[in-house]
Amino acid sequence: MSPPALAVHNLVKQFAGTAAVDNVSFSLAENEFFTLLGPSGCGKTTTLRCVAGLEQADAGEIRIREQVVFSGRDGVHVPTNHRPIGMVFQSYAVWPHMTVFENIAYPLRVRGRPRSRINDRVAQVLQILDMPGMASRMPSQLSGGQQQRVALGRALAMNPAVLLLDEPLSNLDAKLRESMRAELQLVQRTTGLPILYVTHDQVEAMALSDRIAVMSGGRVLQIAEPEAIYERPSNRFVLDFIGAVNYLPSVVLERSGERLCLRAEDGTPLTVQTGSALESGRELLMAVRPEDLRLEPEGTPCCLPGTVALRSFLGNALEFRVHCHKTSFRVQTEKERPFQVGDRVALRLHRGLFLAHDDKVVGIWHDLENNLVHG
Amino acid sequence: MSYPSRNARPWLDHRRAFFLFLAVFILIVVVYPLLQVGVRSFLVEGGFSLQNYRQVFLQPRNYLALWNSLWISVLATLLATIIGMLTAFTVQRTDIPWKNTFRVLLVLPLAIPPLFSAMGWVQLVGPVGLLTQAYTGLFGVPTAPWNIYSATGIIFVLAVNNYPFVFITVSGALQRMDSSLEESARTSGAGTWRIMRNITLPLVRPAIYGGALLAFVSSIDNFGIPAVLGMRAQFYVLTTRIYEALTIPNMPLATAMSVLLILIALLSMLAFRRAEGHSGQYAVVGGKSVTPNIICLGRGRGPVTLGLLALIGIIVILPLFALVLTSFLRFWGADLIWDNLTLRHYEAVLQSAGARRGIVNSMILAPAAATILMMVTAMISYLHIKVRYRGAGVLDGLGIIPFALPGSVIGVAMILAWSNPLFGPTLYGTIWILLVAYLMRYMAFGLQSTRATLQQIHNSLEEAAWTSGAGGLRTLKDITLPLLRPGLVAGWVLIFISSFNELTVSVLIWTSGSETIGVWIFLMQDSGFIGRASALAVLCLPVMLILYVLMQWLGRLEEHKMSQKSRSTP
Ligand SMILES: Nc1ncnc2c1ncn2[C@@H]1O[C@H](COP(=O)(O)OP(=O)(O)OP(=O)(O)O)[C@@H](O)[C@H]1O
Ligand SMILES: [Mg+2]
Repeated sequence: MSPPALAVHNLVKQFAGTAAVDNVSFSLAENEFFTLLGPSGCGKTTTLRCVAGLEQADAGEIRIREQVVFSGRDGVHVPTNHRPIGMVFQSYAVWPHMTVFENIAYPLRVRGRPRSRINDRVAQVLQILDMPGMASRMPSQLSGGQQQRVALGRALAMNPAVLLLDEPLSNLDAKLRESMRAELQLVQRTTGLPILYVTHDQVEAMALSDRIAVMSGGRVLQIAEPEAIYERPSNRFVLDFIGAVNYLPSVVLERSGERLCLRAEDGTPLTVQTGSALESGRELLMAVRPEDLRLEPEGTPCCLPGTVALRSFLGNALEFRVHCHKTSFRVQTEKERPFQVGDRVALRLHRGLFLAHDDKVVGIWHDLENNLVHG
Repeated sequence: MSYPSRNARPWLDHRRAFFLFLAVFILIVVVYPLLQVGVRSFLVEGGFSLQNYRQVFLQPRNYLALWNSLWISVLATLLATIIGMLTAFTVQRTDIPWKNTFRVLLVLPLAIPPLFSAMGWVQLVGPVGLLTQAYTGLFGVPTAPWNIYSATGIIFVLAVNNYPFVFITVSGALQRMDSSLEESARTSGAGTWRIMRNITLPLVRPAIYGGALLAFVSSIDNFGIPAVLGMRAQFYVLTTRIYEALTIPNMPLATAMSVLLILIALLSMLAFRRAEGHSGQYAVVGGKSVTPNIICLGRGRGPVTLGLLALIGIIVILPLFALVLTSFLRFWGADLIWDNLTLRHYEAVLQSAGARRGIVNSMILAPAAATILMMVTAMISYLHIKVRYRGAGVLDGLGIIPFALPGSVIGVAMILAWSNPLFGPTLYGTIWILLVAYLMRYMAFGLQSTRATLQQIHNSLEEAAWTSGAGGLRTLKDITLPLLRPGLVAGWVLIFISSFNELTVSVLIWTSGSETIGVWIFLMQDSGFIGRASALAVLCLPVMLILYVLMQWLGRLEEHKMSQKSRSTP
């Protein structure tokens, strides 16, 4: 296995006594698109700035291509301008007094590259960014999306060991964001640069990343591929942050083999299939995403009885709100489901997770019918 | 945001070295002279005493001057505020034509030294002034029913010189005011005048107080106008009384009066702050420019426009016209006939050694003060805003203080500090004492313009340079300085104009050989060579007007750039 492009070990950064980054570790392989994902204030930017050297961490170690750029123990702190990085800021930070060419050429100029090589490289970068003929424009003559591309081009110009991007798309409107997202993926594929990406937008993170680190309160909660983060989150925070979830309190009645019989809070008996060993009598939360619920006609066995309270058209799907006993469920289905507000229905729980009282995920389950059909 | 730094830092790194250098500069230029004033006013023959203050309050001549300064300035400020508000509302909120031209013309008095204005008014409505002659000729009376050499004259000329402060702040507030506030009043059924009284006026009140404070401080500070219009009538205010005390010279008295002047300045500032605080509880003037409500004058549009033109003609153009005319007249008060026109005053000026020295000195002092101040204040603001160096904020605060001090105080402080200095060379008697005085007086201009510009330069612009591989100095050269340049230029021009026009301080600390243009003009005027004084003033006017237009143009350019920037970065 080749050495990581970037390795962060037990990084700690405090502001006025409170830890903004609390013992964070992760590493990036060459070619990897790695995302720090989390809510506002969870320490993503601070982590990124520590990697860039814009903040000096308090403890831990940062290595870029095996070179130690920060070590709390050995007192190493390589200044930002000596780190082989490229960075794109949320606010673009395109220099308003320089042309597009001068902006992109700056990292090369600073390092004293010969003029002809600078010209070639800038032309190449403009090619990659699909911005031909804009070299002599001033930033004030560019749109927001174009300015963001210039910022990206400037970060790419030096072929850095790692590219750092701090919410680069959050200032763009929804449509432009989507096209820039595709552009970013393309750029990464053509350049093959490892990217450390920061965002609070889980859709963006899912779409772009090879792996995601979900952060909260300065800590990394889980590092995994997007599918794994979505389907097998390690705890309730990750589960909640990644998408909508319904919770159903229930108690384990008995277990036989892979089959688990439970009683939901309204008394309905449910049978699911699971690999986890859960003793009878244990109280659990069953967590189900809206798209993993099915609406069935009233009286269908092994389903929760309920009433449709709301029905809204989402364009590509229908969303229902169904009241069952004490709980209100969000349900997303295909469009042809013929239920209306006020209808009595039955909710089939297709698949989901078990959560313990400490919000840890203790198991995965799916319903029996699904198993029968596919098994 | 902290700069990249290594763990082991030497005690004297380059940042601390810069800081210490700047601290010493502020200590010498600002703190030391001020301490001199404060301490010496209580010193009599080496011991603590209130004798100097007793002298102020025992002699009617002295406490009358204090009292005169106060009431003259209050009345002048009132009049200036009325003129400033009326013109601001008319230009910003009615549908009169040529608004941009009016905006430029209405602030023109700021470009003209008050001394010139006072001279112009004397030549206009003085005993043998143009208008006076016209009046007496027309009505066949021996004298006109007015006397410019009086308190009324001083108040009037102070007001027409200082109303632009109110005009500028009030128009600014009117421009930035969120028009939805007025619109919501309109939708609740209020009429135009009601909206003005109940909504608009209260909202711009802080701006009115702000402008009025500037006008008041500027009136208290002024020397040229009460000197030309008051001294002849034995009517003294503090600035002219201090001038007189120094010609005797009675240094301790001047010092004590300076402290009183400081107190007046501080108290007035506190009073205005309080008034402003009471009225500014609701922050309503946003930063956005929005289309304001415009009052359609209808048939009143013509008369209002004419009135505004007449006002500008009378208070801006006419005195300048009189000044120019006098400079070409054989003697002041001569009949306006072809034979009485002459160039001899100009010849006299250009041959006079004193005038030539004045021109050279002013041409050295103004750019020197502007250049030194912009360099020093840029460094202070950089340490303060970007490096967030602890202590740099204190330097900034100290540097702003002299802005609030009347010029007479700075003049007295300079004499105390540099005629028998505790350390360093005796600057008194050279032109360098004027330089140090200008550095002290205008430091605030440099600090304010560099601070404002640096605050607008987002930190990420510099950080982007570091992540591009540029070191600290390289970033400063390639990114920070170019972005700071507009602020530097604007501050430079402002300091240049102010130093070039300076009189209040200069007239106290000049010595033979270190005259400035303003001092020489004042001396000529004071000793009756009105023609020569006017001639040199007329020679200076183009320089001042050009610089003033340049400054306005730079301001426009900056505004334009800002609007472009805000358009391109959400
Ligand atoms: N320079 C600073 N001084 C003091 N506290 C800071 C500083 N920078 C960040 N913090 C604090 O550290 C915590 C993490 O901040 P950080 O900017 O890393 O959050 P973030 O995850 O990037 O959030 P966002 O999504 O809003 O950008 C926050 O609580 C913030 O208030
Ligand atoms: Mg952030």
